[in-house]
Amino acid sequence: MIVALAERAHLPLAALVLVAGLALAAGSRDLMKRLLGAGAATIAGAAQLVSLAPEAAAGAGLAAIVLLLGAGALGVVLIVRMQEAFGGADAARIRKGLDEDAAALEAEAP
Amino acid sequence: MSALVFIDAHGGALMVFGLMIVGAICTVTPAPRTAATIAVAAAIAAAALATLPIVRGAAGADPLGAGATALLAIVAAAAFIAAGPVLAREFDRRTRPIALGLALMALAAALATTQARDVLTLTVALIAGGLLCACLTSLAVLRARASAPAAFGAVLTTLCAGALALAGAGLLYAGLGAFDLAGEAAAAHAGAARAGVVGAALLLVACAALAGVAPAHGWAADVAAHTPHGAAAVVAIVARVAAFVALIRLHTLTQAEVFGPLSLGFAYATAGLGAIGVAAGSIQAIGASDARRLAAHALTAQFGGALIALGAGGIDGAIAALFVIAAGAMTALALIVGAAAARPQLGASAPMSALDGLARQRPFVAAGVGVAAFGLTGAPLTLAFLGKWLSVEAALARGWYWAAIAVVAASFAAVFVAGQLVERMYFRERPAQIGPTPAGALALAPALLTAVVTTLVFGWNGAAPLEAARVAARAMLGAP
Repeated sequence: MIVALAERAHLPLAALVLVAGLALAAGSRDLMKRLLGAGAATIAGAAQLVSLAPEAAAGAGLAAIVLLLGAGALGVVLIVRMQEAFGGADAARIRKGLDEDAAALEAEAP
Repeated sequence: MSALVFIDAHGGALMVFGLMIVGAICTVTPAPRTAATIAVAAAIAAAALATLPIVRGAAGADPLGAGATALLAIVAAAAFIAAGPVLAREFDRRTRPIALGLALMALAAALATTQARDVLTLTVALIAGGLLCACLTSLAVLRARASAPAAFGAVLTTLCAGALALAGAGLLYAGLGAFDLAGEAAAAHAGAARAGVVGAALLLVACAALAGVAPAHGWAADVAAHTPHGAAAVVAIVARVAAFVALIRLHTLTQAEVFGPLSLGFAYATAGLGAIGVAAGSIQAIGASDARRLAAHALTAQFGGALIALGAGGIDGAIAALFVIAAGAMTALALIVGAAAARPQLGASAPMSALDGLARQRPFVAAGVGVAAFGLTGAPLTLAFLGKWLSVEAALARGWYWAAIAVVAASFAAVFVAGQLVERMYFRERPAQIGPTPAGALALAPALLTAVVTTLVFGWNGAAPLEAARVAARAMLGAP
């Protein structure tokens, strides 16, 4: 019964995770949470494709997932870099740092 | 003869895989000059391969893909010629070949996107393009910390758009029983189109996000402003236009019979997005504090105009959309190259004040940027004029007065932007803090010439591009 329920529920569940992940990626102030949300949405999207498409699509799905894993890794590297450069990886701190950079640029070039 | 037949049959794949391999070789080449020579040769070869079928009148079954590929390959070739000396001012010996290699691979992904005829290829190409553009922007982190948030924005957009595209591809298949973008296979499965509608909508949103269509255009402007100058044209123009071509294909799919009355909903949604793009892009271009950000917002406004025309439908609407994006690409190319010519210390920014007094130090560069600014307004005798004219006609034919007003209002807004650029270049003194313009402007000449000649020659006599756009539009819409 649980297996049957899981078989019926996995598509709506994937859709739910997709929406929740996108919402987290768009709305969170913490960049790591944004990345996690986008990653969760990606997994959900890939699950939808694997469930609905024929086996012939598996290769393309796999290629897309590998690329998206690469994007996730790049995201982590950038977060580490932002923590070093801005002293933290939350949106408010980075905004403050960018405003300081813009003010310095205006002072350089009026 | 057999070589031509082979190129006709496999030219697209040759371009994509060739550029990918050469790009990978470039990244491990120890000598930057060798890497630059290889990159320029590969980009020119790709442009020649892409243009050959158009010149021979053998665009085949996909004139839209052939035309868009040729346009982007030419823009990229001109940008790669300019990239060598510009990147030399930006990065050390080790980083320059990596930047060139990544740019070549991003070009390959963009060309794969424009040629993709099925949803799976399209999804993979779009994700690869987004990731490579994020990598290119990440390189600028070595010079300026402000590039890190911009690159992170590109990563997030790629991940979110990728998620939507993957889910959309699965749903499209579930609904229509095919991954085909032409819509022919879809007609056979007219009974089960509900999931296909959701899938097409998700794919449209993914393409719109990666093309930087408003309201998802903020990341594109950030990336354009913070990418290394030498690679900015590939990231800010080639990748975005390629995603927009994918958007055009998907919009055409939604107008297939299988979608029934929902096609009208898609048309209204597309035109609505276009109106938002025109308003947001035009207003933000007026207030832009960075020359490359201005170019990105101007391209967003042009995409908006193209979406309005596309939504209005018909052959005229499709022709107008194709004209508008070609004109937008050329304008953005001149602005981005002009910004690189004007900025002596290439960090990750090109403030508008870098253009001050440019006409006295680099009169030809200033003239090129001036022509591009003129083209931005859609003035007569420029390439954009015909596109805007046809957009207004298509909107009026459908009774969409609001859309026609939006297109005309965008032209008036562009007059402010063009006036601002001309005033800075011709009537202001160059601030001492910025310093003189750098040497090496000769390498920028092909890019500026491409933009200027295309804008003016096809503005004077638009018969050839009009016919090419008509052929592409007919093939897209399946019209006789």
